Amino acid sequence: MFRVEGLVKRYGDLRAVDGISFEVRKGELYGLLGPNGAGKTTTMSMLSGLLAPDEGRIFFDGVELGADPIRIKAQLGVVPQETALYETLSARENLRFWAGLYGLAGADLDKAVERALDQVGLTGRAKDAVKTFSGGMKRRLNLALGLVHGPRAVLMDEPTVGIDPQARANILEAVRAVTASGTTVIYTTHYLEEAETLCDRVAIIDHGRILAEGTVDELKRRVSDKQILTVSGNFDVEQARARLAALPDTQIIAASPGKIVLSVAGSGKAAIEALSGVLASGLDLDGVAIQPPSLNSVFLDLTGRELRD
Amino acid sequence: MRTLLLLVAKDLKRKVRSPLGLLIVLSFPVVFALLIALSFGSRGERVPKIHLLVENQDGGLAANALLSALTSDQVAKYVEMEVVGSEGARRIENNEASALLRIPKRFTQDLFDGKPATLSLLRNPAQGILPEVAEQLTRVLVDVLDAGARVLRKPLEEIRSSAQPNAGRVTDETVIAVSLAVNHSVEGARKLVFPPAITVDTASLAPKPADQKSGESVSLIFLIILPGVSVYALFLVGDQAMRDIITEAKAGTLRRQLAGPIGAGTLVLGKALYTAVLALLALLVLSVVGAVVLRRGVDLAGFLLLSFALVLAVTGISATIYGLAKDERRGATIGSIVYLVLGFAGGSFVNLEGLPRAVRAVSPASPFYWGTAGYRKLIESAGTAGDILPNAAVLAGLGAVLLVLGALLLHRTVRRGGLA
Repeated sequence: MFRVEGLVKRYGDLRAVDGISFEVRKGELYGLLGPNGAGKTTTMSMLSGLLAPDEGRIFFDGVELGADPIRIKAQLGVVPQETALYETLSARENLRFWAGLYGLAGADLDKAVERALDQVGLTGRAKDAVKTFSGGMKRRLNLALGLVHGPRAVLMDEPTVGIDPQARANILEAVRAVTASGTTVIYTTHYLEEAETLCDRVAIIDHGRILAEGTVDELKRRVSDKQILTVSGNFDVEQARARLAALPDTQIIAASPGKIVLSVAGSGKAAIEALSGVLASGLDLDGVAIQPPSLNSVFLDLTGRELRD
Repeated sequence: MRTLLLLVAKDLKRKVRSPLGLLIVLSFPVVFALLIALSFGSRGERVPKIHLLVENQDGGLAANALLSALTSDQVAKYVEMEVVGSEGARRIENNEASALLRIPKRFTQDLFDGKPATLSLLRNPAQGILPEVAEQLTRVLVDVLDAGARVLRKPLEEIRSSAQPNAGRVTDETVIAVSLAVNHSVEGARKLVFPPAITVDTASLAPKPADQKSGESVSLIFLIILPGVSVYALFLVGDQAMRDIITEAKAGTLRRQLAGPIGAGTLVLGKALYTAVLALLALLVLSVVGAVVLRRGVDLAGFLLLSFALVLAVTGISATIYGLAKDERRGATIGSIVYLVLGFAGGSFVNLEGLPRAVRAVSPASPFYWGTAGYRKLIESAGTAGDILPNAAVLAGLGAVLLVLGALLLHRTVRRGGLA
């Protein structure tokens, strides 16, 4: 449904998006996972037609976005990162406006609005002004505005940022319901667990580039023959490098004062051998952690940083 | 068209839900009018004192009688009289008084001789309505003196002949005869002369429904203030409405709309239409206030023509300001400065006559000037659509040009993501 080819967006010398290409199939929930500043929102802005790419092309159902933007945008729903709502209007008035803007009218509009309210559990507060809503309720309405016109594909840019766990669970449930109905979703997040539990396929993005792409299992397999060891203690980087460099099948993938991350090739036995080497290195250690294969270890392996860094 | 209506309806609904800003702007001329109504209330008890300079070049009986009249308790409530020498004109230039009344040489003599006598009044236009009141007061005094001179013609002649150097001694009988003649003349003219003819409140500021002249005085006060301040308020309403495009950009709703099936041009057009509709509604409110306060009918065609032209100008200027501004703060700052300068130069706050000559010379460059002058023409001079056609043409032309310019600037900014 979506095909993105060599997308580039520059801000001066900074390449916020640096040659991204991917494809999203119909009915798929495709995740863009990466830390803040990775280029996720810029990519979404280009997909929603808000930003023109400096290079590259975006196709929706085989039609280039720039060729017929209004018609394509009418088939998309957008859930922005910020809660873009009219605070003095009620939830229903907000939904009616957006539904009307996408061409709905009369009974169709009424039905769509009530369905969207029900979808995000806001029917009981439909008449209340948005300014009286909690942060979680605003997030839910923000999601509903992107769904009210029944789009074929929805672009969701970190829709759960800054809300409590319960509100987050409600939103994730609504997102699952959307994909279950056959709607295509592109979902950006920096939460590993969201990507792991929600997405059919995930692209790991950093510094404007896609580092890896696949299903969660496929991505995890990339590190299944590697063990990630995180060593912390009172040591400086050079001292640690000097003492650990000689460990067999071990590569230092990240180092900072008091913390060093090692990638050990092989099975669990190789990790134990590496651990023995670390313990025997004479470094003043506080702790050593071996991470099971996860999206975080994939990200660590690819970037040398944890996603939460 | 449907999208435009949706956008305007949404913005109007938001304005209705959060009307404080609009009410504050609209209350500006209303509060002004109310303050004036309170100050110059229905009885005129609180008319500010007129500082009247009198240059008495005559010094005779009639001149002194005039000075006495001006210092009488009744007149002193409204007039602070000061006798001055030849420096009077300079003091008017220095804005130290409302008017200078000059009593010429031979004034008394001419009055006794039955010759025409002229009092001259030099008005200070910088003091708004006060010189107008002073002029009316002078006219009343002149009428009284004129009537007195005519009524007392016979006794005055007897007094004059008695005062001749060769007339000999004035006997008791002569005095009694003159007194009787005066008494007879005054009795005969009592209905004309009394109650006291110099009644400033009646002749100037006190509005009486049946008294066209006093009504005019009150109307003059409002005429000077209300149209200018209302035009200024209208531009502020336009500024507020157009600024909403930046408010929406900050709230993220502009970006969200642009991600939908709506072009940047439609969005800008929608905001311009909303600005125009809001300005029209504000104009309606201000018109009702004006009608209540001024109590005058105006030529409807002329009023509508001027109002639509003004709304176009309001929309065009505000669109240009926010097309040039990159954010809300800069837009508000530029707007405040532009409106203040144009409002001042255009006579929104001070009557044009009271502005320095250099400012008056550039007044026609301000749309406020054309708006204010147009409404004054319609209200004060009972002007018609034909009379205000130049005003409407200038406003509409300026508005159309600036609207196109502003829309292009805003469109460019929105498309480039400058606001979104």
